[in-house]
Amino acid sequence: MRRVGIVDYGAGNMFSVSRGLREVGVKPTWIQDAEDCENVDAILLPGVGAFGESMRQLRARGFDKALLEAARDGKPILGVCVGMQLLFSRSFELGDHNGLGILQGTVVRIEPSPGWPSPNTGWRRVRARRKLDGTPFSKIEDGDAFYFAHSFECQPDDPKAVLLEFEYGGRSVCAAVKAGSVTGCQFHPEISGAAGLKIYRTFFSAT
Amino acid sequence: MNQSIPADRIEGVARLPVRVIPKIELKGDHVVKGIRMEGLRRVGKPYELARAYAAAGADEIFFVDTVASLYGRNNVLPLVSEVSREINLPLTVGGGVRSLEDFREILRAGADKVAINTHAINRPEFITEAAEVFGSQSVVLSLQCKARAGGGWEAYTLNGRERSGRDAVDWAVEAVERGAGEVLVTSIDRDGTRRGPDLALAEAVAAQVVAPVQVGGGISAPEDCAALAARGASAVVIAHMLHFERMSLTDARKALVAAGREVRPLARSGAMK
Repeated sequence: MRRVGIVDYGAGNMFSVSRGLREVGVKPTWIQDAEDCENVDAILLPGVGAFGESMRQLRARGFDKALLEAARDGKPILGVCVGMQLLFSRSFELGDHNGLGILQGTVVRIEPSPGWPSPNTGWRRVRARRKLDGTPFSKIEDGDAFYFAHSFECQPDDPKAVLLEFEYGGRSVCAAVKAGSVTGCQFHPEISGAAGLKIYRTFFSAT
Repeated sequence: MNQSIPADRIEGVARLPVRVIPKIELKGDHVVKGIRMEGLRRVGKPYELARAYAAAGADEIFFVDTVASLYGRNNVLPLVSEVSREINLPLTVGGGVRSLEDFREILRAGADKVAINTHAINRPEFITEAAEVFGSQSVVLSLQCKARAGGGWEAYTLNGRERSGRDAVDWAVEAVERGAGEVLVTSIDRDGTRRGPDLALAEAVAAQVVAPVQVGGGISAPEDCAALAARGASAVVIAHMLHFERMSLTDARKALVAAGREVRPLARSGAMK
């Protein structure tokens, strides 16, 4: 098992996420100082709440630079929910914000369409867009359902970065991305039953 | 002003897996069950119930602290932590939430969503404040309704005890516009009676709000779940029938599938996937 750090920037779902890690036998460390990103083998970036406010918190604590550096060093990073959205270049939630810029793409409001609730909250079946070997999703099966709760979606510039997608409003929406050592997961693995825990287990036990 | 959303509002929702959510009401460290939200009976141990429901295919669990405003939250938070450690499902907690600090405390304990009612009606700005800090998806408006003599429904506060004077559907629309990510509609008239849910209420709210709508109060048979889903409910909330074992989660799921609805897939062995 590797040393896993959870970025502590006051995000609401920190505890939910750390509980998920404990379930798979990983004892997480809270990273409160950005420089401690260097002292862990893998980093988890949780997040719920407003994008702009989250970025403000991350910047204030120096995590923007530290995470960018960790990504450049090839350190595994997993962004969950808003944590995934923060990895991207730009978000239009409540304004126009710069994200961490680790993944290229934008975060936009899920286009409202008559008949489809917003936020998108509930269990959704995902579909693999490419082979999942070597990703944290390698043990999940096509058609597995996970728990989503979000009003914004990620649109990567490079469609090849998309790992998983789901159907919503008659379109395919990004559920997970991977580029280099950085993975993003729009749904919540920690509250997606056993299927979700498989993802954490795979990500955090890989050496 | 209501956003009038046409009937095809129901169409998308019809293709999404319907959630079945057990509601566990707490008084101290016991599970209780209200009848029309007054008169509580002891039902069992909350931790055991939550675990059993999770193992049986519940999509989420909802805890209501019926005495938070009287005794504070010291009994409930440890329970929330214990349950959230054990089950890997979304956990919503409500009851007497009056401040952002209360909200944060509940999330810290391990819950994923917080249900608010009285304080939100008294100070609607609270909804927006909570949504901005914690995210809309963690803010659930608990809408407790009683039918009005002249038609329509009124929203009630204080766990169904006090009239607010507000039209329930109008208030639901406003709350979602202010940032509530979900609306949980409970019919006070039907709650605990097993007389069947208020379908007209479910339809009225689901047709008007953009956010997902959970509906509870009076479910009497598995078919009621399908009937609610047909009217736009994205989730059904069940207490009485489950606690007294007059219905199982499997029954509810089967009825939904029989009615052509989707439900969350579980592992073939029946264990939680």
